[in-house]
Amino acid sequence: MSTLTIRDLHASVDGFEILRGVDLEINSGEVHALMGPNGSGKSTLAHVLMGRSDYQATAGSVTVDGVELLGLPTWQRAARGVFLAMQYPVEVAGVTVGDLVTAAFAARGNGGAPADLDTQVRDEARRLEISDEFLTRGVNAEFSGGEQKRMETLQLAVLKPTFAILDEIDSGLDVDALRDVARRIEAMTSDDNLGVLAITHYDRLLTELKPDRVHILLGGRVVKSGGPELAQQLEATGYEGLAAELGVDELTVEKPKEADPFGEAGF
Amino acid sequence: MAIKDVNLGKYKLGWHDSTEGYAFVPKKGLNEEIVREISGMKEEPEWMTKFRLNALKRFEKKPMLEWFAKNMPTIDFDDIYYYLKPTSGEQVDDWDMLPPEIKETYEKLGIPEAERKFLAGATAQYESETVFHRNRDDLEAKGIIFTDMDTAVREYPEIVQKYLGTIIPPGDNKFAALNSSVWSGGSFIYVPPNVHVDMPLQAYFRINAENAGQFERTLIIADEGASVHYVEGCSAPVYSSDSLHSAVVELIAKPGARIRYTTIQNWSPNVYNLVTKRAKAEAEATVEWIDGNIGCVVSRARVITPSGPKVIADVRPGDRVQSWDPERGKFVFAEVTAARFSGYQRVHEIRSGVRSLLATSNHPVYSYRYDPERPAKLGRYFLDYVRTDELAHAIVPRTAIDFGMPHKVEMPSIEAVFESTNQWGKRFVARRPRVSRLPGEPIETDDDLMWLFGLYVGDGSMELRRGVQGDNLRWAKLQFSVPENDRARSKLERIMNEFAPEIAPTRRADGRLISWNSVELAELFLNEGFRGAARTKRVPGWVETLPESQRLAFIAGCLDSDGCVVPAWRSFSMKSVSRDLLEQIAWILTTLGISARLHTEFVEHRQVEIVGRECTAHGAHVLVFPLDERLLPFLSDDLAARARGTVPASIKHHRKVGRSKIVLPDDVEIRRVEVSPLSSAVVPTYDIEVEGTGNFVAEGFIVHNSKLTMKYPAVVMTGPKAHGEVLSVAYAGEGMHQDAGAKMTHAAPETTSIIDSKSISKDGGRTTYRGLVRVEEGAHHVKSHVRCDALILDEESRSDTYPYMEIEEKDARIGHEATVSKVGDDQIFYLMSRGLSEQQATAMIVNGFIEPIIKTLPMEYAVELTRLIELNMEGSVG
Repeated sequence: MSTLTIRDLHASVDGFEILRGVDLEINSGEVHALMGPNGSGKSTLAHVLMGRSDYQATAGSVTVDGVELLGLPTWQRAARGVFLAMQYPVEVAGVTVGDLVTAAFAARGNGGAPADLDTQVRDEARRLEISDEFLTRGVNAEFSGGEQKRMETLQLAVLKPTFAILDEIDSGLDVDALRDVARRIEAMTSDDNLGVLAITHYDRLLTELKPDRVHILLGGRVVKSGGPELAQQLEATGYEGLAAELGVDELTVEKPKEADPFGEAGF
Repeated sequence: MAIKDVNLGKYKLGWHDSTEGYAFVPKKGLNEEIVREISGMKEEPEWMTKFRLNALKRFEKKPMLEWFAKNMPTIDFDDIYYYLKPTSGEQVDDWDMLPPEIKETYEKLGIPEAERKFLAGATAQYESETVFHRNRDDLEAKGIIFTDMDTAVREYPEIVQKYLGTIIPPGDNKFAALNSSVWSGGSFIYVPPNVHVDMPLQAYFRINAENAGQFERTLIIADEGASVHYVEGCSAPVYSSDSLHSAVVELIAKPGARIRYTTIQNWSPNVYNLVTKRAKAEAEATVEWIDGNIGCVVSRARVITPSGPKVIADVRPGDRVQSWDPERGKFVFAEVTAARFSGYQRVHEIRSGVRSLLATSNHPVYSYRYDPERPAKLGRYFLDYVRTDELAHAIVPRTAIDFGMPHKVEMPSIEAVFESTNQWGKRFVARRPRVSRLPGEPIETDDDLMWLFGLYVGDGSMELRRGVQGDNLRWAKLQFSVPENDRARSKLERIMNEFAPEIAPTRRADGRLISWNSVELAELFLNEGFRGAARTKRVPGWVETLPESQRLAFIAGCLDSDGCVVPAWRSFSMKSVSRDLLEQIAWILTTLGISARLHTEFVEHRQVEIVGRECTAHGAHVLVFPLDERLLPFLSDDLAARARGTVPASIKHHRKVGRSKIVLPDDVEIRRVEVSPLSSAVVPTYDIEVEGTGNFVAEGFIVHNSKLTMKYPAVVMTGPKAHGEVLSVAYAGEGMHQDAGAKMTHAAPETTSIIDSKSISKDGGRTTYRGLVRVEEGAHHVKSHVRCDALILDEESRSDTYPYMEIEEKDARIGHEATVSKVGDDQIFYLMSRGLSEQQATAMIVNGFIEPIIKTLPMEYAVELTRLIELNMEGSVG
């Protein structure tokens, strides 16, 4: 049983503070949903947890079983069992998902990839209804949104981290894909005791992936936490209604402009 | 004409003793007799002898290729051995007999034995004769012929005679003619109709004796519906001196056949690689060329550019470097056309006085040779480039061309710093600017100021008192121990009075010392890098970038303080306790083309008595250099007069080339050199290509530059629906410039071609693609696709694409696609989030990028190419 603890996390991009004190605690086997409107800092949280260099954590702590993650390079966070399924997975031409997970196991040490890795990848692909063709292509190369997310889930299932952060895994997914991905993640929480932080905009994901806890992120802070019923309440009131109810006047923390970290990443 | 004599031998390079072991060493040179002798040795049929002689006639008539003539104007075809037969033994048929270097390379690359043996069959060209050859039984069973060309001429004359020279006729170009007349070795493959060779056929080529022309001839015929993949092996690093490699490769794909030809080149830099490769694809046939180029070439050294010395690794194409023009007998600035990182290699140190250059064994340095067999009227002594490990003398600059710019001297701003207490008893620090007595505007260095700095290096010193904060000067004194009656005293006082008229000197009563109490002067000297005491003084880096007169004035200043004229040596001599300082002064001399020597008198401390007092002497080093006339105007009158009064060194001194009567141009002289044994460690090496002169001055030596390679494969599609394909990979790391390209000729309707060129550039590397797609008249419905993908790993690197099209039919569909990918932060972050380090992530992106080519290669070549790129990437990370 492991615990991912986020305490009073503050983070900024280009000197502009986006996270203004986030507290969360996730145990193995639990599914936590983090909901918030666009610009509330959801994706920033995901990137800060994984240690992307253009996001600076300015205060607070993120620990896995007491080991501080802030300050570690990204790959070491991965080695400590944290996995980020990205909202926009990046294409790596010529590198198959098999190559990628083999390299990931090799980088982790401990004797490298399991002997039956190929079989595992194939089995997972079958489970996630990924056709063989995608296993021989470069990762995410000319993949549709749904294929990308299935592939992220496949990597998650093969690499078996302790905690998974799912950054808007429901975006760009059709109903079938959403169900497949959610089923697989659910199975991992029960079979492999995976702890999940599912970041999402809509409650669509949550009808498929049953959360144990739901947290609402507004203005860079978790303003409310509760059981699954919170998602339904949100459905009824909307973020603005909730904000009014809680007396929060700032929903988003977006920097006036140009702070789009994906826009200038240069491709 | 002396100059004429000089050039005759320019490209001749020494023959190694190793030729003694060869069974047959004909005379050098090319004529009918040699060609007949080669043909006779090989016991060739009459038609082959005629083929050779016919080609020889064409060779003699053909003009030199324009680009070749321009870059290598004086290649001497009479100065090459055209045929060498190694050992009198027969061909061997065992992997253990492979040359150990090749086996070693494989071990280094980590290719397991099992895979090495997995090869379908191979010939290894050692020198001109094929000594290793194996043919797997099942190939023979299928009727596939895989043998060396010499055997093929004897055993399969009807096939060879039918196809040889049909794709590249002897008259195609001068080098094709040359090859046709003297070819030896190479592979011959014939695949019967509808036979598929399922494993690649491979051959290893290597050139091992210097000056051995390699003229292998490869002919591959895939009959109707047949298929074959041939791999021209990695030569492994070849360490030879200049060699001419002029191969001819002809591929013939009969209707419906398929040939794939793979090259992974790693030729040594000093091989002139002039391979003509062409394929004919008949109806519905396919030919693919796959090219992996990892180029390389010599030395980490300083060269002179118009703006000052530069480390060779920083030289880029387009820069100009100091070069020797033997035609005019002058130094010139010549343009660099290419610069390359040449990998890690072992080197020698070449020393002549204070000049020191690190170079690989085979790097040619300007010197002279003696050849007792040359006709006396041509001169048995002749100026020539000699490889480093055979070097005894070097022809070095005796002067220099002016370069450089004055240095800007900023005036220091000085401030006073106080520590005090305010009315509440709190301590504070206050700063207030002080009025400087120096001019406010920055000035440029001039001859006088440089003389002053030079004098400071010898006789100057400073006393400094720091302020409370430690970062400012409270009081300072700049002093020179130049006595009143010293030759430099009046010049010193004059220059100081012009430079800082507001600061009055203090003259010590005993007349031995003159000083200026001035914080601003001390700051200025410190800022410009003049600091420390006798043992720690240094020459600031910017001095080497000054114009000639200012560097001369600086040296003159040093001489006026610490130097003297030694009439017996006809030299200036300068003494110091600091060897490092003298070495730095010596480098300035080298940039001026003044040859200096550095002696050490003693290094142990010893007790001496000076005017009755016991002192410790700390060792002394002496720098000695000629009384160069250019220095005289900058010296104090007294020293200049003494230099003039000394009988000048005989003009013949350092000017005699052996016992010959060769008259060296005034701007160079000849010096003995010492060459150290080869280093045990490897160091990064570089080379540049220089337009016109083909040489450059590095660390005061004239060295030859690297060679060109021409390696654009071509496919001519002669039958309908034929298909041609060229895949190439080029990697350019720090200081490298890699060219890749292809030529496609569509001579029949419905033919298709693909050119896929991939390049990777990193650390300022540069890659270029040049390609030609030609659609001839009558070739309707042609489709061609050119794809150039460049992967650029950082901001400094670049990639250029030059696609050329000559289209005669309007219905041709030609696609050109060029992608430039920069490795983005997103990609790196994505891979890192899976647990890869940044280096691993970059390597993975590069491997993914070249994957389309890698997957076409047999396992060991795939491993090798990947490993070579990794090694090169590591190397350039340094």
